[in-house]
Amino acid sequence: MPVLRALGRILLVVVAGGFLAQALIVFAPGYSADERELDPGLSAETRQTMLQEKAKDRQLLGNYGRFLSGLARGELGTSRSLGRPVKELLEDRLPVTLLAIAKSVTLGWCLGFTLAVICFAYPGSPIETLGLVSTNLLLCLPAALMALLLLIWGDARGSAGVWVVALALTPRIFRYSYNLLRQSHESPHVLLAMAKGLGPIRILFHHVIPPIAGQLIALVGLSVSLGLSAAIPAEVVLDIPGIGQLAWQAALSRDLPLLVNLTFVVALIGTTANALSDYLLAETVAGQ
Amino acid sequence: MKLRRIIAFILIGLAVVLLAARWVAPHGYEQQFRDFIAASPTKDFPLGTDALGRDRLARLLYGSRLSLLLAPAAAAVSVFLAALIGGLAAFAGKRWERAILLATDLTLSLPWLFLILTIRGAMPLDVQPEISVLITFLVLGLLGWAGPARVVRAGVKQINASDFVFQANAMGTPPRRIFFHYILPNVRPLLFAQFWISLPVFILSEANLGAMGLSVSEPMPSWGNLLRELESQTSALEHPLQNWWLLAPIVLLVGVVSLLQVWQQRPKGSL
Repeated sequence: MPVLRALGRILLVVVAGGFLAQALIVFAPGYSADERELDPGLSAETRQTMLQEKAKDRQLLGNYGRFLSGLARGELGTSRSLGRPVKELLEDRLPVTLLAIAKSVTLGWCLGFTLAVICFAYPGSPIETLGLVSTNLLLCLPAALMALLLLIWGDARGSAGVWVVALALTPRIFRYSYNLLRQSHESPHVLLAMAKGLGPIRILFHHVIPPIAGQLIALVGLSVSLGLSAAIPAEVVLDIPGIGQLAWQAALSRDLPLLVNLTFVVALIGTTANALSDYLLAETVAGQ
Repeated sequence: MKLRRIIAFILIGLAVVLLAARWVAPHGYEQQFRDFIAASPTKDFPLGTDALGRDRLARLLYGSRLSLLLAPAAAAVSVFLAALIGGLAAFAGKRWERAILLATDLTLSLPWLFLILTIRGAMPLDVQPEISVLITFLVLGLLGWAGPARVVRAGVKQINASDFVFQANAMGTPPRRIFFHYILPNVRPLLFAQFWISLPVFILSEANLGAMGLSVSEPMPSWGNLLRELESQTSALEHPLQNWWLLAPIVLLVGVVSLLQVWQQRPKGSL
């Protein structure tokens, strides 16, 4: 039952998210403007067709119903700006972003959590100060700027996109984990373990980390959503052909079919990651 | 406490300088000097000029002023909405609470920047620069309510369950009076904290949007626009020490956001 409930929730959020995105885009003041209208070679009939196309977009419920029935048949429509089937575009670009996000989240957790544990283990030391200052600095860099700096001083190809997203995630993971570790360290059972003379490593792995494991797992789900946010400017600046860059292109050209599909995909990734972390959290709590 | 005072002093000093940009800046931000295209720093142009011959210092001052004045306005809009929606969720019964929580989850399920990008992209991109400024920051303010609203809801619920509210209810105090006289004053520090948390987020979001060409329209500068200009300076930036003046927007942006981050680590509710 909990699995069915989680699936139902994912479905509800994704369907509602797609509808919300469509409504917001279609009724935004600039939606009726189309850059294709600037083409002097267009005939009056073509212009008229384009206007009719835009007017049809405002029939929200009917359009969304048709979109959902198409989706059920595996038809995602055609991108207006790129002139290619959306399915093809997603097949090309989704794996690029998904793989990068998976690598970035793993790297971000390795860096952020390890740094949090090190800073926690050496309170008041220069290591702690260095950890706090460096993560604070990373927190102040927009992802686009990190991508730009890597483009200038690093290797723009290869794993630059992964590093940008990982470095955007690291300070957030660090701060959250570090605060949780410190909070857990002040619990009475940890004080008792210290009073009994247990070693610091045993205290860390048996008494400090287990009680906060649930909250850390909850952050893993959120990291995916944060990673997707950072991936958009990273892909745009570094010219990586992922769905972040596709979303940017679609937004600039007001490509409704592409934007609605991308909202679907992005909401699906985010809610699935959160549902998975909720499931792991429930399992952890049950295990404890 | 001393550190917070120093930060407040620096930020207020910077705000004063930026507010006086008209008098401090040597030239207008859109004034072109065709004989000085992409010039290095001189006495007349302390940070050099850009590819269109515009004074970089003037553009930095005006751009910083825009970002630093409008990000707080956007944060205020977002916190106001969060207070309204979060308060309604906690105070107006189970049905409202469920509906608002669903809307919050929905908004939070979409990555923040994706949502802003989508909505900003659908707004007119070829409008007057002043209007593009308003659109950019209004979109940030209107879409940033979801996270703070959850926090406000939790805070209001907690206060609503406290003894003094229970007593006020028992004495027959009308709900409106309870909300404005008992709950709102107690939730105010939470709202201030959310404001300070939102502020650097909005500054960074504008910078990201600007770097993708979806922020303020030319010729008006903003931190995002200034970062975008750097994308065409990559070869010069390979030697940052020789071209140090190009790094000025980065230094100012990172410096201000760092100060705000340190400031909001211990939000006390007021400046």
